[in-house]
Amino acid sequence: MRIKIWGCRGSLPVAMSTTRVRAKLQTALKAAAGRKFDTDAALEKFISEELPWAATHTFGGNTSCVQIDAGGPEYIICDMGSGLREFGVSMMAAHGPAKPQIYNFFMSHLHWDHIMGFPFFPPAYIPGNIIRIHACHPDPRAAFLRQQSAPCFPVHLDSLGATIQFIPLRPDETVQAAGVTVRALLQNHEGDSYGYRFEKGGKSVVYTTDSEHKPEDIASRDRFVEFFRNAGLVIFDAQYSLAEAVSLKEDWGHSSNIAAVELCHQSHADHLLLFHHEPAFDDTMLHRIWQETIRYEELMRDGGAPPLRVSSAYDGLELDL
Amino acid sequence: MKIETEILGAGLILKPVGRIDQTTAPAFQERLLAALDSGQDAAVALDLSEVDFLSSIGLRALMIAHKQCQTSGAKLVLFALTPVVREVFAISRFDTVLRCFEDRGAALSSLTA
Ligand SMILES: [Zn+2]
Ligand SMILES: [Zn+2]
Repeated sequence: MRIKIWGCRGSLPVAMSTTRVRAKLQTALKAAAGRKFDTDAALEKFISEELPWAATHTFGGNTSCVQIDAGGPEYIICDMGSGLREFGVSMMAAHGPAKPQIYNFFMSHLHWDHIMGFPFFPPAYIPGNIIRIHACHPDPRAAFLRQQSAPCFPVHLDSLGATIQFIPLRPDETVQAAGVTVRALLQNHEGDSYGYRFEKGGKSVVYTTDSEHKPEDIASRDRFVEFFRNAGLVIFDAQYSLAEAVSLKEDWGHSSNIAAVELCHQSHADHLLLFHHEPAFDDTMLHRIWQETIRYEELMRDGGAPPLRVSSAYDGLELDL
Repeated sequence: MKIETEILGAGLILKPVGRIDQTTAPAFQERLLAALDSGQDAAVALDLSEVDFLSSIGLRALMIAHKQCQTSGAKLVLFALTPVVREVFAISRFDTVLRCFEDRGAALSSLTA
């Protein structure tokens, strides 16, 4: 199973500013002062091995969109944030307009940052393509219609070329879809959201975003521990610090890196991927949070327990399970 | 969990001993809130020198106590954090919300200031 992150940002797409680009350049040029690189390979080695991570990477600014490649002929994508545009462009490059494809979307919920990429998804405009939108919400089409009708967008939902099907799912029910086994779980978020657990051939990935975990809610914790149980990868909404999540931003519907590590430890997951990053944070801050989460995992790990691997999502990241 | 108490003028020094986790957090929270409940003169200095583990529910108890102080005017300070708890405070950003001091002397003088 291969996971590709097309959008990792929470709430709103963001772009890197000139100020940030220049800060990265400054870091790189200072580190390279007095050095000479005879070949591109030597330069590449310097970039990869000697510069700080945040100087050579960016988390990117697209909102939630994650591809799950389970090896089957149909595509599987979680959410349609702004990252969906680039995924769609890559599909056009791979298949062109003449080879119809089947795209299976699994919707965490219908908030704007999770559907905004759909009007910019080129395969939706091509007759022959089949787009299956799996959702637990009662009337997902209404959200898509509102987004793609006047005065919000010039191309009406009903005039798209592809065949668009809405497939209702029920939480806690295990179904077969797009060649994988899928189960949804209700999450605590304004208007409800759903997490998804995908399984195939002994591999499992949980996509759980826009989900608030309250430390005192033991019954909810137990449901999630069961849902995450032994997962190969847990893609987790860690937008806030715990201090924010239990004070100012309580009931805003998101969680923390602390909740992420606690739940992953209790469920013996292998790998945690921090996701739905705060749009106000730059690369340096997100990298810091990532490193702190690795440290927190180490501090909280039971003696003898295997380490939980901790990664942080960035646009373009690919992970193999 | 064991919570040692020392009366100090109008205030209290509370010293929880051991882990503050799912099992012990409710009792800890109840004791802390009760100590802060004696009106706007209430002051609690929390000695964390014997706390080596604090999970999210323990942190939440501290946040609830902090919020209660904001409404009532009571005072809460913490001191003598173990290295692990100090790190947990930094990672969870509780260090930006709660008033933490190196030692008992500094904590108590902040209460009387
Ligand atoms: Zn969101
Ligand atoms: Zn949302």
